[in-house]
Order: sequence, then structure tokens, then C-alpha cells
Amino acid sequence: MVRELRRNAFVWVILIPVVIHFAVFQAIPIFSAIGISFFHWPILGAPVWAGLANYQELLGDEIFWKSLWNTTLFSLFYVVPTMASGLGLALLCNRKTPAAEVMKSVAFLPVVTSFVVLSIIWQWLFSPGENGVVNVILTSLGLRPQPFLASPAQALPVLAGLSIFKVAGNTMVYYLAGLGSIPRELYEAAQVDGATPSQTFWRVTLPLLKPTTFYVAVMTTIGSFQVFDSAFLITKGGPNYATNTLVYYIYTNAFQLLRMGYATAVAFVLFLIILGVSLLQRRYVGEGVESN
Amino acid sequence: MQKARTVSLAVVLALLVSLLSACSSTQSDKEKTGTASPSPTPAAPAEKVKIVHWVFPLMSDAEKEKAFYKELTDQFTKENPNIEVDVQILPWAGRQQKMLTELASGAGPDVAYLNPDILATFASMNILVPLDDLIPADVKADYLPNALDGVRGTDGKIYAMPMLQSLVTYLYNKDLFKKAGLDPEKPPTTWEEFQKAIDALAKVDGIYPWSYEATNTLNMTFYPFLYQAGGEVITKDGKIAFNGPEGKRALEWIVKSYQAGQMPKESMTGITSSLFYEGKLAIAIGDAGAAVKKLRAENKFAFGVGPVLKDKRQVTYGTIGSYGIFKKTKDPKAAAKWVTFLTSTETMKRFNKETGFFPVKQSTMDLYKDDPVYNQMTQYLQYTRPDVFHPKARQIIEVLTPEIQAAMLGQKDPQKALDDAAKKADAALKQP
Repeated sequence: MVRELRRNAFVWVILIPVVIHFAVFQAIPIFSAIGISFFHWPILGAPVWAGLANYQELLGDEIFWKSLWNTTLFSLFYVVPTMASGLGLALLCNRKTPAAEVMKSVAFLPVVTSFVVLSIIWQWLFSPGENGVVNVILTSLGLRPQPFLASPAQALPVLAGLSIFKVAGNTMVYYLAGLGSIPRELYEAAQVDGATPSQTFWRVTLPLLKPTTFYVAVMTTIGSFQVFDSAFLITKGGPNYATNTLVYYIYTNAFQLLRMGYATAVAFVLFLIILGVSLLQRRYVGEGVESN
Repeated sequence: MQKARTVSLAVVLALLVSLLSACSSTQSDKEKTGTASPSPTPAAPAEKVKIVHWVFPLMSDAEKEKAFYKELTDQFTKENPNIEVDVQILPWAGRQQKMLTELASGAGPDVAYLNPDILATFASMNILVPLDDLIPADVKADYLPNALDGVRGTDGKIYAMPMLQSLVTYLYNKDLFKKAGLDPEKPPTTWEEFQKAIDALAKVDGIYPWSYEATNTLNMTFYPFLYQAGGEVITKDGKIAFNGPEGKRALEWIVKSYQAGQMPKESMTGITSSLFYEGKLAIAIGDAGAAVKKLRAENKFAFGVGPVLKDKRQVTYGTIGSYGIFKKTKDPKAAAKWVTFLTSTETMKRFNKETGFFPVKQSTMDLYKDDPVYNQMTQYLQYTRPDVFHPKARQIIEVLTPEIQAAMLGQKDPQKALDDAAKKADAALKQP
């Protein structure tokens, strides 16, 4: 026993900071949040037992359902386009020319740019009036100016566009790594068999990228359910709740309306949704992907 | 090998120690902010108190603002060697949540700048010190009655010391008024006159007559119109009232004008004052004092300050900026002493002159006597009302804002939008 402890002492010393960090910043908050969701708690003062009241309220709360719907829509606008543009960029940049190197850096720039800065640029680009940059371009092409952020129908896709722009570079890096791990011989074999470039892509490249695709799909989907920054910075959830996403709804309830209990109940439901979606993705997208 | 392991072990331990000490530094900070350990020599002065004061930037020049507080704290500490004041200037965004989360963990400020709606929430949480007995009687008597009303809790006690008041009214571009054939020296007062001016301005090419900022706080946007029409947000006995015929009249007016294209589309998404400063918007409603300061600095076009609008009654919004003391403070008397010093007649005048707001004591009312524009605005202060004083005031704004947007977008009939918001506000009032 003592010998074993001594043998593992070094491991423990290494692990303890990580464990403490995990406990303080992850485990304890997660479990306290689940606990708080059964109370009414305005941040200050003693929590009052609420039982399942917060969850009951949630079922009948049309803004919660609207936020859930918005978040789902956002995922539709965001996940597949992000993956497609990431893959497209990776295919374009996957060569050793100087131009490709420059392009890689350019495509990665939005990833390292602060979301706040990008939001301000986006707001300026998609400003609804005649003075909005995109509207000026549309008008010069003879098209009608669009309301963009002022329109309940267009605001959410505009925000999704910002997220695609911000994240695609990151997805590109994953796909570049995936492309690098595909053995050259397979392409040579395909060439010998007389495969066209499109056949090579669909029959060789895409199937062999499956582990990457699975990882990217799970991560972007989780990210899409957690969208907050743009709703907070650009639209404040409006107009008329059109961009009220679940995490933004959690934020308003917790910190503006001081309803911590209700906010944590919504957060817990969001956790269950993300868990469920990830499991489904593992079942259908991740089929045959070895977990290593 | 053994040696290498010992060395790495030592490194890891050192890192661990530094990590833990980093975690605990807030703890020792807290001790510092509280009472410092008493000096062993009996001749030493009594216990030293440190007061942390949170303010939010109100001057356009951040360095100037820092210097302003530095000068005051230095002077105060010279007069009161036992009290050390640390004024921290924090960003406006999320100030309520920042205060609450810090206070919940036992940290946070002893004194903070508060507006009436946050003050109402904090007073209902019972975390503010009632100041009735801590403010010297002559100082209390010097305050304008409406300023003190803005900082009184529902229990009638005073929970903060006012420093400034603001005035929401409209500013207009005199050049554009001339272009529209309007008399720039006779700005409209009643709703009818105002609508006539808007209709005339709508005929001028390349500009918008006015704007209703649909994402801005209702205190500055919808509520003044609601009050002018004779309505109330919430009645004295706590019933939601904004969906009455007055609210409908106010909202229908806004909706009609937006849908007729008399406002820029940006009204739906953000602050439109920049359009006004560029000369593309004829009329802008907002914080008049600060706006005049900015317009003078830019000096791009001739502007005027419009009178407070009038429908059934002449009324507008003006907030009261004040300093509240939290119950967590070790020495409320010392904190009150500092706040009294900070809101002295001289400092109050200087501060308001610097920020473009308006002072709140009788003895300060001569501040703008040589400045006709500010003097004119000072006359309008008699028509102001502060924020809705209710612990749930912010919730009401939160549920009403999207419904007003829905009405402007034509997604809902104005009455239906107000009724839907009233239902949600009712539910919010009942929530624990």
C-alpha cells in the first residue's frame, strides 16, 4: 500500500492541480447549477426551495420554446456550411505553394480575431439602412436594399454568417490535418484506376476524412447550441426575440432578471439536449470511427 | 534520474504553491480592504478604514476622470487620515450583475454609483444602508425634493446620495429644419406640432426626420411618450398599466411613423444618434445635456434643444445618479462621510459641468446661469420623472421591449403587443 503510494506519488503531484482546477471550475459549478435549478434564487440572499416549479414554468414558457427553435435554426444555418467551407478551404490550401501558405493564414485570421471586433464589423456590414455596406453594394448592383438585422427573418442567418466566418478557419485546420494523414498511395492507386478528380474526392478523400468529419460535426454542433456572443453584442436577442438563443436566454434570466434558479433549469435542459444530440451523432455520423 | 525526478517534483510543487497563492490573493485583498491589523504601539491612530468605491465613466476623457477622483481622494485622506478611499472606474456594461456577483461572494464595493431602477432592486434585497441618519441635516435640506424622491425606497427611507440628474428631450438640426421650411427658432411642443414637423422633414431628400430606438432602454424611449399621453407603467398599488388606451395611443404613433418610413431602419437594431451627429437625422431624442456637450465639441451644424413634449401632460424622463452604501461595509459612517464629501456643492458643480449633467442641490442651481442652452435645459428639469421605482422595473422593460419591436415590424397589432407584454409583466411581478 505504502509502496504503491510512493510509486504513484509523482503522478498524484502532477494530477492534483488539474483535479483541483477541474473541480473548482467544472465539476462543482455543474453540480451546484443542477442543485440551484430546484430553487428560486436572486443571486443575493438565501435560495428558496422551488421543487420542480422552474421546470414546470419552462414547459409553458413560449420564449423558451422560441429560443430553442431559434437555436435549432441557427444550427441548421451554421453547422453544415461551416464544415463545408472548412473542408473547401482545406482542399484549396492543401499544397505546398507559398500562395497556399498565405491563404491558410488569411483564412485563419478570423479565428484569432476577437468576437467583439468581428461583431462590430458585421454590424457595420449588415446595417439595415441605405448606408449599410452590403446594402450599398446591393444597390450598386441594381438590387433592392435588405433590412438584414432589422428583419426577424434575416437577422438569424446574418448572425449564423458571422459564426461561419469566424469558425471556418478553425475547421480548415482540422481538415488539413485529416488530409495530411491520408496515404499518398491511395491517390496513386485511384489515378492508376483512371478515377476522375470528383470520383477521387467522393470515393477516397471524403470517406477517409470520416474521423475528422465526426469530430468537427460534434464540436460545431455543440458550439452552435452555445451561441451567445453575437446575440448579445449585435441584436440583444431581437428584433422581437428573433435571435433570442438558449444561452442568451439563460444569460438574461440569470443576470438581468436575477432568476438564477430558472436560468440554471434552462441550462440543465440545454445540457441534456447537447448530450442527446452528441449521442445521436456518435451513432449515425461516428459509425465505424474508432475512438482512440 | 533520481535527481531529475526530485527537481521536477520541486518545480511542480512550486507551481502548485504559486497557483494556490494566486487563488488566495483575493482573500488577502479582502483583509486589506477591511480593517488593517491594529498597530502594536498605543500611540498609533485608531483603526484605518479602506473604502472601495465603484463608479462608471461619465466624462469623455478617461484620464481627466481618473485625475478628478485622484485629487478628491487625496484631499479627503488628508482631512481624514484614517479613511482610505479607492475609487475604481469600471465599464457600464453588466454593472448590476458585476456588483451582485461580487457582493454575493463577500467581495465587491462598499460604495457604488446607482440609478433608481438598480437602487430599487438593491433596496428590495436589503443590501443598502439607509442613510437618513448619516446625512447631515443641512445637506439633506439642501437637496432638491425630486432628487431625494428618486433615491427613496418603498419604505420611504433614503438609500443613496444623489450626485446628478439627466434630462431626456429632443435635439434638432436647425439647418434641416430650415430646409424643410420650418422655423428653427420655434421647435414643436405638442404631439400634433411634432408630427407636423416630422411630415415636413420627411419631404427633405437624403435624411430621416426622427428615430425611435427600439433596442434602447424604455426609460428613454417609450416611457416618456406613455407618460405624455397620460399613462403609467405601473400603478401606485403595483398593477401593470402600460396597456391602457394611453399606451396604445403612444405605441400606435411610433408604429405608424416607423412603417411610413419616417425613421431609419437602424432604429430597430441600435443607437441612431450617430446619424444625427452626421447630419442625416433631423431630430434625436436622448440625454440632452451630454449630447449638447458633444455637439459643441464637434461643431458641425447649428442645433437646438427642443422643449419637453406634451400630449395630455408635459413630462419626460430624467434619471438620478447617486451613490449608495452597501451593508457589507465595515464602517458605514466613514463611507457616508466620503460620499457627503464627494457630493459637496463645489464638487457636484464641477462634476456636472465636466459631464454635461445637472446638479441636484438648491445651492448648485446657479451652475449654468451664464450658459443659455444649459440654462434652458435646467428649466426643463421640472418636467422630469426618474426611473420606474419597482424591484421588477427591469423585468418589465425586458418583456415590453420585444413586443414594441413586434408592433413596429407589423407582426402584432399595437394593442395586442401591449396586452401580451402586460401578461408577461404580470407573471414577472408574481415570480418570487
